[in-house]
Amino acid sequence: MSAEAHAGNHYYVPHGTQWPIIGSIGLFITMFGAGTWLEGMAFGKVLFVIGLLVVLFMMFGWFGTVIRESESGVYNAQVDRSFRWGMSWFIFSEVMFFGAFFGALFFARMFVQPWLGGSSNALFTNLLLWKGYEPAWPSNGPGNVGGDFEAMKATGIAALNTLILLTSGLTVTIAHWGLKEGNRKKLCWFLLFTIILGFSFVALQAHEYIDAYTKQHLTLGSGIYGSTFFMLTGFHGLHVTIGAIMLTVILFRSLKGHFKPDHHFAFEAVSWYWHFVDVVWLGLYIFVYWL
Amino acid sequence: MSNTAVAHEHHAEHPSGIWRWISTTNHKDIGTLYLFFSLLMFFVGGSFAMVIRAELFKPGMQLVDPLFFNEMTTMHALIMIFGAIMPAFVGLANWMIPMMIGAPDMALPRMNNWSFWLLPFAFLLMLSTIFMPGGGPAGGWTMYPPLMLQTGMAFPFVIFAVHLMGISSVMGAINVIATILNLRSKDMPLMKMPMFVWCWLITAYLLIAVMPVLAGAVTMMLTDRYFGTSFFNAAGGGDPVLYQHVFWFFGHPEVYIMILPAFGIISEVISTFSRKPLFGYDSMVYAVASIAFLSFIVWAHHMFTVGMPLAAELFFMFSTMLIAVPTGVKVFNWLATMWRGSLTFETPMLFAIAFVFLFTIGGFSGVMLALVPADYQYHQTYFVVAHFHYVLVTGAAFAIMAGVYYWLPKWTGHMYNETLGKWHFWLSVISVNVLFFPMHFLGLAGMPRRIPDYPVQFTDLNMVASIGGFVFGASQLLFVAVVILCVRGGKKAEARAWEGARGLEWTLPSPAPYHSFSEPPPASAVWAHPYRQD
Amino acid sequence: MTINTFRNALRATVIAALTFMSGAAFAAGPSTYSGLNMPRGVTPISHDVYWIHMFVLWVCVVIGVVVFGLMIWSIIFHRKAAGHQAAHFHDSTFFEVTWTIIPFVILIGLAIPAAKGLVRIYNTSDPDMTVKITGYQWKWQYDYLQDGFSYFSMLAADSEKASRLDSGIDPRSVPHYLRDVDHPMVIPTGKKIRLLITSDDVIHSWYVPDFAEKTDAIPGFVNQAWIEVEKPGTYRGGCTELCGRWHGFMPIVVVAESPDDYQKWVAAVKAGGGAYINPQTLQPEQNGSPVTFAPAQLNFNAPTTGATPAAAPAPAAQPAEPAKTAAAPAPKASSNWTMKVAMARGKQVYDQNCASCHMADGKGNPAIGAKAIAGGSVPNGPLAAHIALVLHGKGIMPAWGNMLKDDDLAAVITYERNAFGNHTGDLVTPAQIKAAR
Ligand code: HEA
Ligand code: HEA
Ligand code: CUA
Ligand SMILES: [Cu+2]
Repeated sequence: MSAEAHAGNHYYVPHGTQWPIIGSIGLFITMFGAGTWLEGMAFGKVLFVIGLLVVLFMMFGWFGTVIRESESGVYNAQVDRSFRWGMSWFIFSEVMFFGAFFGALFFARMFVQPWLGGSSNALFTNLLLWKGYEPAWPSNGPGNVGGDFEAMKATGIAALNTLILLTSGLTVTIAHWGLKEGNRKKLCWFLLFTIILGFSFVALQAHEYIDAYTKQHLTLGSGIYGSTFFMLTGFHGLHVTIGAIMLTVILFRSLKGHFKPDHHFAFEAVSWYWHFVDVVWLGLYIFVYWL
Repeated sequence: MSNTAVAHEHHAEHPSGIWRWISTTNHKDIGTLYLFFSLLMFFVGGSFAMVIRAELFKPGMQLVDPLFFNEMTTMHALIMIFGAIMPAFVGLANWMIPMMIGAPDMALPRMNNWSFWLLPFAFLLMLSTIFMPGGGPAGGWTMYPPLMLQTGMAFPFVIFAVHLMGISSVMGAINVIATILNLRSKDMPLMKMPMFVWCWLITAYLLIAVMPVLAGAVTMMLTDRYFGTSFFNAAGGGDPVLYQHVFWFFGHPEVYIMILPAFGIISEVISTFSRKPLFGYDSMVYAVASIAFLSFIVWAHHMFTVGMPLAAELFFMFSTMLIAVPTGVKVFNWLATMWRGSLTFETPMLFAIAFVFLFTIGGFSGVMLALVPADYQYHQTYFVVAHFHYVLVTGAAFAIMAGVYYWLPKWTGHMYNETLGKWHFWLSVISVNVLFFPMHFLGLAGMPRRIPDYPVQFTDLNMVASIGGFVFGASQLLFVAVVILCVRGGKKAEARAWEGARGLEWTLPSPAPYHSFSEPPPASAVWAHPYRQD
Repeated sequence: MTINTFRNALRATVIAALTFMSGAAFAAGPSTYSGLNMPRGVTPISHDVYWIHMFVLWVCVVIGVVVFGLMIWSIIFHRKAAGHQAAHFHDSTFFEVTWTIIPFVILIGLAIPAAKGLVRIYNTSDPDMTVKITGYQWKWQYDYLQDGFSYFSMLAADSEKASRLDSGIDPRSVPHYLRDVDHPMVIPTGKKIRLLITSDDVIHSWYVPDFAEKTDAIPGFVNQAWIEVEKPGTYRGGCTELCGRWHGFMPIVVVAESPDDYQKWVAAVKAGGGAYINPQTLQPEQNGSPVTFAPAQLNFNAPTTGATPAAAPAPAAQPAEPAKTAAAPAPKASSNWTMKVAMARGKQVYDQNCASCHMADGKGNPAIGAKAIAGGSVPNGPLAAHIALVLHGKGIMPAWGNMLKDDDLAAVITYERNAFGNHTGDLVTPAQIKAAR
C-alpha cells in the first residue's frame, strides 16, 4: 500500500487498501453460513467458521496496518481527532443498539403485562383470551411459556459482578494515569488487573448462565423474562469479552513499548469502550436484576 | 498551483482497472461507486415496481402469484430505500462535502471504502432470497411479525442483509460527522457551512441513532424464530406490536434521513439559479434541527389502528402535526430565496422547483394522515402510497436528480446536454403525477395497499397509474443517456459552472482534481464566493 | 390490451383531472358515490371523519393556493429572461416569525376537531350488543357472544375462481368481484354494536369504509371498536393489514337490517342450531337496499349461499359457549361416515381451503413452500402425524384445528390420504380428530 508521504502537518490520506473488501467477503460468508446453518443445512456451520476466520484475518491485517502507520508517526493531531470522533460515535451507536432491547424490556413490563391483565382498553384481552391471568414480573406470560422458573436475584453473582466491573473501571483509569506519567510498570500492571477482572466477570456470568439452565430452569425460552434477560446480559457479556480481548492487545502493545504519554489514542479508545460496557452493566443491574 | 501538481502525481500513482475501484480510498472514487450502485438499484427496484404496476393494470390475476407480488412490493421498497435513495445521498456527500468544506478527503478513507463495499454484498444476500424455496421476503418492507416469521428459507438472509446495510450506513455517517467537524477549513465556522453540509451533518446523527435500533428489532425477530424467545408472542408475555414500536422508532427518522439531504440540495440549487443568497440561513438550520428532533417522538403515527391507549394516540397526533411547522419554514424560505431573484431554469432548477411543489403536496397528505380519525380511513390504503411516493419520488428522488444535474459539470468537466435534460424533466414530472396522483383517489375510495388484485370499481384509476408508471420508468432511461453522454464529452465546463453558484467547490477546476484540497484552501478562496454573506 | 381498456383509462384520466380542478366530486356522498372521495358513510363516526377529512383537505388546498401562487408569481415575474435583476436581501425576522406562527395556529385549528372525534371513537362503553371478530389466514369469524353462535366468512366462490391466475374469467362479469363473501356479517341498525377484534394467526385489520372503522386484529390481544349503522343495507370492505398470500382476498360484507328483521335472523340461526342462514333467504324484499360502497348496480342473487357447501358448518348439536364455538365438536355421525361420504366431503373441503396452496392437483407449490399432497411424505406417512400437522399447523401451514370442524377435518384428511394417487386406505373419523385435539 503506497502511503502518500505528506509533510507532518498534512492530513494523512492512505492510498489503496485491500482490507475492507476482505472484510466484506468475510462477513458475507459468515452470514450466508449462519443463514444456511439456521435453516438446518450442515455445511452452513463450516461456512460460518470460515467466514469468521476471514473476518479475524481482516482485523489483524487492518489494525496491524493502522498500528504500524501510527508508530511510524504519519498521524498528526488532526488524524487523531478523527479517530476520536469515530470511536465516540461508534460507541453511541452501540448505546442505541442496547437501547432497543432496554426499550423492549420496559415496554413488556410497563405496558404488555398490564394489558394482558386487562387494564385500560385491553379489558377483553384478559377476559376472552387470557382469563384469570394476573400481571406480574418476572413473567413468562399467560402461556407460562418455557415452564416455571426461578428468576435472577440482585444479590449473589450479579452483585459480585457489579463490584468487579466497577473496580475494573477504576484500574483501567489508574493504568491510564500510569501511561500519562510515562510510568510503564504501573500501566502494564493495572492493565493486567483490569483484564483479569474482565475475564473473571465473563467466567462468573458463564457460571450464572449454567445455573440458570440447570438449576433455575430459566432459559432463553422462558417467556419474555427469559428473552429480555438473556438477550440483554448476553449481548453485554459479548461486549465485555470483546473489550477484554482488546485490553489484552493493548497490554501486549504497551509491553512492546507502544504509546507515548501524549499520543495513545488506541489505549483511550479501548478504555472508553470499557467504561461504556461498565455503564451498560449498571443499567442492567438496576433494571434486569434489581427492580 | 501545488495541489493540482499533487493531484497529477496521484493520477499517475493509483492502480487502474477494477482493483482501483475495489481498493480505492479516494472520496471521489467512492462517491462515484455509490452513485452508480444507487442508479443500478434504482433500476432493479424500479423494474420490481413495473411488475407491480403491470399486475395492477387490470383486475384479475394475470402475471404473477399473489405471494410473488408481495415479494415484489417488499423488495421494491427495501431496494429503493436502502439501495437507491440512501446510497445516492451518501455518494453525493462523499463527492461534495470535502470539496465544500475545503478538506483533502473524507476523515476515515479506509472505513469509507468499507461502507461502500458492504453494500453490494448486502444486496447480493437480499436479492438471492428471491430464488430460495419459499421465495423472498413477502411481509412488506416493515416486516411485521408474526407474518414475517412465516417467511421461508429467505428469513435469516434478509435479516443479515439488513444488518449489513445498517453497519454500512453507520460507518458512512460516522465518517461524515468526523469529516465535517474535523476537516473543515479553519476559515469556515459552522454557521457559514453550505446548507447541504448542515443537512448531512444532522442526517448523520439520525443515522447513527436509529440504524442500530433497526438492527435490534430484526435481531429480536431472529431469536423469536430460531431460539425460542417471546418478544413478539403474547403467550410468552411479548407483543407483536412491540416490534412495530421498535421498527417505527427507526422507521420514522429513516424517512427524514431520506429527505433532509434533499432539503440541502434544493437549498443549494434554488439559491444558485435565483442568483440570490439562501434566505433565512439560520432559521433553515434550526428548522432542520427541530425536524430531526421531532422525528424521534412521532413514530407511532404509523400505528394509529393497533389499539393504543387514547393518550398515546393524542400525543403522537399532536407531535406529528408539529413537524409541519419547521418544514413549512423551509418551504417558505425557499420561496423567499426565489422571490425577486433573477431566475433561470436549467434542468437542476426545474427539478428543484418541481420538488418544492410536489413535496409540499406530499407534506399536505402527510398532515391529513396525522389526524387520527381521518387516518382510520386512510391507513393502509393507496392514499398512504400516494403520500409517500410524493415525498420519496418527487421529493427525495427528484432532489437527487437536481443534485446530479447541478454537480455533473464539476465531476466530469463537461456540461450535460441541456435539451435532453429538459426532456427528461418534463417527461418525468408529467408522468410521475399521472402515476401517483390517482392513488389519492384510489385510497379515498378504499383500495387497500399490498394487494395484487382489486374490485372492478378501481380499474380505471389503476390503469391510469400504471400507464404513468411505464412512461415514468421509460423516461429514466433518458436520464442514464444524459449522464453517459456527459461523462463521454460535451461543452467544457468552467470552474464555476453556474453563474450564481456559491461555495468552495466552485473554486476548484472542473473536473475537480483527484485530491480536493491537498493544501488547505487559503481564507481568500473560502470567501471567494461566500456561501453565506451578512 | 383491448380498445375499451384504453377508453376506460382515458375516461378515468379526464374524471380524475376534472375532479381535482373543481373539487366538485369531493362533495359526493354515499348515495351518489363517485369512487373518488372518502364515502360519507352511515355511522355517526363516519360523518365526523368525513367532516374532518374535508376540513383538512380544504385547509391544505387554501395553503397550497397561497404557496404555489407566490411561487408561480416569482417564476413568471422574476425571471432573468424578463430582465429581472436579483435583489440581495437574505433575512427578515418579521417574515420568519410570521410563517412560523401562522401554520402553528392553523394546526391547532385542525387538532381540536380531530381530538374531539378521537375521544368519541374511543368511547366503546355501554353497547347494545357485542360481536367478537377473529381474523384467520384468510377468513373472518363472527362470534355473536350473547346469542352463542359463530360462523366463518370467506371470499365468495365465484370471485375466488375468477381470481385464480389466468382463470380466463373476466372479473367484470363477477358480481362484487372480491367484495363478496359466502356468509356476510349481519347486524341491526340503530344499535350501538361493540366489536371485539382479534386474530388467530398473523395481524389482520377489519375495515369497512362506510363505518370509518378500521381496527387491527392482533394475535393475543383484543381491540375494541364500536359502530352504529343508520341505514339498512349491505356494506363492503376488506382486510387491510398484509397477512400473507391471500391478503387481498379476504373481504368483509356487513348486512345491516332493521332490529326486527335482525331478531328474526338470530332466531332462525338459533333454530338451525347455529348453522349460518343467509338473511336474504328470510327477507327477499331486502333487495335494492342502499349500497354505498359497491358500484351502483347491486345483485343479491349472486351465487353465494350454497355455492361453497364445505364452508357451511354442519349443524352443531348444542350452541357451545362463546369463545370455544369455533372448535365445537361435530355430530358423531359415524354410522353413515363411509369412505364415499368422507371423500366427497373431503374434496369440497380441500378445494375450498387447501387447493390455494397445495394446488387443485395436489402437486403443492414449491414457490411458497407448500408441500405436495400427491405422493407427499405426510399424507402417506403415519396418520397421527398427519392429523397433528393439519390441526396445529407449522410455519406457513395454518392451524386448521380452530377453523374447521372435526368432521370436515376427518373428511379432508381422509381425502388427502386417498386422493392424488395416495392409497393409504385410511378412513379418518371425526372422533379420531376430537381425540387428537
Ligand atoms: C421522505 C419521506 C417522508 C416524509 C418527508 C414524510 C413526511 C410526513 N409524513 Fe409520511 N410517510 C413516509 C415518508 C415520509 N413522510 C412513508 C414512507 C410512509 C409509509 C410507511 C409505510 O407504511 O410503508 C409514511 C407514512 C406516514 C403516516 C402513516 C400513514 C398510515 O400508515 O396510516 C403519517 C401519519 O401521520 C405520515 C405523516 C407525515 C407528516 C405529517 C409529514 C410531514 O413531515 C410533512 C410536513 C410538510 C408539509 C406539511 C408541507 C410544507 C408545509 C407548509 C407549506 C406549511 C403549512 C402547512 C400546514 C400548516 C399544513 N406519514
Ligand atoms: C424509496 C423510494 C421509492 C421509490 C423511488 C419508488 C418508486 C416507485 N414506486 Fe414505490 N414504494 C416505496 C418506495 C419507493 N417507490 C415504498 C417504501 C413502498 C411500500 C412498500 C410496502 O408496502 O411494504 C412502495 C410501494 C409501492 C407500491 C404499492 C405496492 C403495494 O402496496 O402492493 C406501488 C404501486 O404502484 C409502487 C410503485 C412505484 C413506482 C411505479 C415507482 C417508480 O417511480 C419507479 C420508476 C423507476 C423505474 C421504472 C426503473 C427505471 C427504468 C427501467 C427499469 C427501465 C425499464 C422500464 C420500462 C421501460 C417501463 N411503490
Ligand atoms: Cu387478513 Cu390481510
Ligand atoms: Cu412517519
